[in-house]
Amino acid sequence: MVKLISSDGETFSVEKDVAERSILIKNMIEDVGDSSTEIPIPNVTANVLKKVLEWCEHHKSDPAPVSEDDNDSRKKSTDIDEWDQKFMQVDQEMLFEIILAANYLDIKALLEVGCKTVANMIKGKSPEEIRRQFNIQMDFTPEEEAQIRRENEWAEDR
Amino acid sequence: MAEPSILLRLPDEVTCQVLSLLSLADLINVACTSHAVHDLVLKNNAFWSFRLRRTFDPLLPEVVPPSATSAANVDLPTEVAAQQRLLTTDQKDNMRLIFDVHGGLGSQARFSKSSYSTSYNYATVHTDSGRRSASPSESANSSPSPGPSSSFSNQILSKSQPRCVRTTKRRPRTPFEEFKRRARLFLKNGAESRARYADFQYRLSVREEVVTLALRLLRENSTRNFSIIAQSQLFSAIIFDQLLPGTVPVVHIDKLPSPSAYTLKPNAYILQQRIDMLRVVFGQHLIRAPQTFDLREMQAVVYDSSRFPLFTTPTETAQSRSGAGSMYRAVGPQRLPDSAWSDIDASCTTSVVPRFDVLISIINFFVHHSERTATVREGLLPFFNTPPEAADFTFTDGDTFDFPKDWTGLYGYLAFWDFDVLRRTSGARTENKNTTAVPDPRFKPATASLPGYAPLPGSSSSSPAMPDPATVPSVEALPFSSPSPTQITGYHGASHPSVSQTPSATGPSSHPSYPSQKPERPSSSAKIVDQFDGMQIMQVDLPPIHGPVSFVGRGRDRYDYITYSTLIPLDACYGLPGFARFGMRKEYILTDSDGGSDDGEGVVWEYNGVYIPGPKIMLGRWRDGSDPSVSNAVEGPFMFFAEL
Repeated sequence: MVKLISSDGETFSVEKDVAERSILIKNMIEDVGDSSTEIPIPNVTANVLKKVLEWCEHHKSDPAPVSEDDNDSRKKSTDIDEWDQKFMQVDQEMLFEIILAANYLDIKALLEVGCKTVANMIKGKSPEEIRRQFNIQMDFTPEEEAQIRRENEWAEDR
Repeated sequence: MAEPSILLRLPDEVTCQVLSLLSLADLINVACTSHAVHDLVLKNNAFWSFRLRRTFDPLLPEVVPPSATSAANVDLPTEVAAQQRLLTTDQKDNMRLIFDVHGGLGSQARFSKSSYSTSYNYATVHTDSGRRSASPSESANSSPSPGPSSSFSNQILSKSQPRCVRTTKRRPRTPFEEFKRRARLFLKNGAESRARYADFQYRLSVREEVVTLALRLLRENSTRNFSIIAQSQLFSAIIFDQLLPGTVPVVHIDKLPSPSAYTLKPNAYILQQRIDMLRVVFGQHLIRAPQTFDLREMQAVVYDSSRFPLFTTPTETAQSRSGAGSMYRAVGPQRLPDSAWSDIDASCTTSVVPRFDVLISIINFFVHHSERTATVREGLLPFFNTPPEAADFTFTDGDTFDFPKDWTGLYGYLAFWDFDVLRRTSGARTENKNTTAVPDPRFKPATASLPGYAPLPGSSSSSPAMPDPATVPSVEALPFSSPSPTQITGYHGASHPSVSQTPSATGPSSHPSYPSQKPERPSSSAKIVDQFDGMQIMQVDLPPIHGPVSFVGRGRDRYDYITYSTLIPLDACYGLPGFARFGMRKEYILTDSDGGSDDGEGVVWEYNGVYIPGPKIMLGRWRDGSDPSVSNAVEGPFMFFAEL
């Protein structure tokens, strides 16, 4: 078992292979040489770390990531499996924190799921819908928006 | 105060990853949400650089650099600097236009892929898209291309050194702008544009425009640094192959060695490049002339000079069609100044123009119709080892030209009985041989329009029309000058054997079957089989020449022989200078040591063809020259290669 300490001091005991879904933690365990040592995770709060470890637990048997080239087509897709979709049904702030945690902990697959979730929140939506989705304050004048539209007509229907 | 949107708080690398999952339309929609997000998306250089690579790299062909040319790159910086000086605004615009026609595709050959990161350091000589530089001097100081090799020039300059870096006051184009430009030009002008591009006729017209521009570029650079030309040709070939697969009817890529073979044989790369050059040289006509690969028909073309002459003479119609920039000119006798050849007249009584359709057929014949195609190709490989030179295209009045010294070649021939069958079955041979060209409906003049297709504006002005074969007479074979032995000053053999009248032999290795030596078979011979052979053609030693010239060479197949050749430059064909008419008469030198056989006595072979610049090949027909009056004299195609 590996003990992880969140930024707010909560301790999580998890199986080594679950914790090692994080490349950061895996490297730290290798550096320390003793898996019983407590490992601090200073940038991740307990509620986020709990969520991340839940994902790692579910995916602990997943095969190791393939090489970058082979993975390219998968990266372009925004398909997310059903469990991950439910897992990501959280508020935006939590989604943001999970993405940041995945990025910090170097969990590529989780980061990929997070990015796909954000992308799916954007896809096929109008600017107004995107604004509402992400709580973006509209600061374009109608003329400015029209100009941007004109400048980027080339990208329509792509 | 509310937290900013998570879109604006994500780390840069994560933002890039999210954006990479979005379509262009979604990206623009996101960019339209606010100023901050607009900048986050559209000014994200890292993202657009990535996107640029991901979008365009897969479209580029895998190009393996030839190891044979690596040594030539040693002095590249000097060459690059020279090219920068030599490029004028117009030439740049030509290249630019060629480049832009295909939205920049091909600007980044795979072998310079690494310049994605380094090309930022390199100056380009291009102006920005849609903007013409006011002067060459401005061009010389034009901006470095900011994008990942955003211009064709970067391909030229990709191996340049840091000292080529030039400063600029112009704002560099961002990766997004570069992506936008390419997408606008190639990928995206709306669904209608894509549908149009899917149309075969439209692709042909685009290709014609590219070929026209490439040829104009060649013409304008005829006296300039050849690397520019070679690059443009290769560039054109790349985009043809990549964007217009299947539209090049003559040299099918899929009939060439497989990609894996290319990696195993660096020479194959050069072969491909040289064939691509042929394509460009003949490109204008390739898309016009319907090609057939029916063996029997092709045999008729390559063997029957009465119906398919190599040359035509310009008619008034053709002359008026070609206008002031006529590609024909009189090439009367000229004397060469101050050279060992000054006493040899090159005589030609008429101006002629090669029929590209027949030349293409001959290429096809050798490339596709030999039963030993693979062997033929393998045999050609050694002759494609050296890139072409600037002098290839300077064979015009006032310029000197280095005619290659060593020539090797291939010729095809039929057994006499097969030849007879072919002639009888492929059409009646006209009685007045070599006086009237019988129009062949398969070949259309270059100005003929394809059905449902309107030529692009301006394309005809830069591509002089080929005369309609139906309206022009054929011409007599080039007269061969046969100087006396005392005139053989060009013969540089260590021991010059005297011409002997001793009877000797002519066997299959020395030349195609000779009619008098072959028994006739019944005309019902079912299958006509082409024979091929390859051999040394001649060795000559010419000083730099210009204008018409006759010269003497030597060679040996079964026996030693002397070649009496004539080379007469032709005016630009399709705007491309450097073509010349070639005639050669081959006579054996028989001595007692040759065995006393009599099969070589009196045997003369004549060659009538066209020297093609760039690839440095000669295409044409040989014939039995022993007695030109003999009807049904054997003849066949030849393809000679300069051994470089």
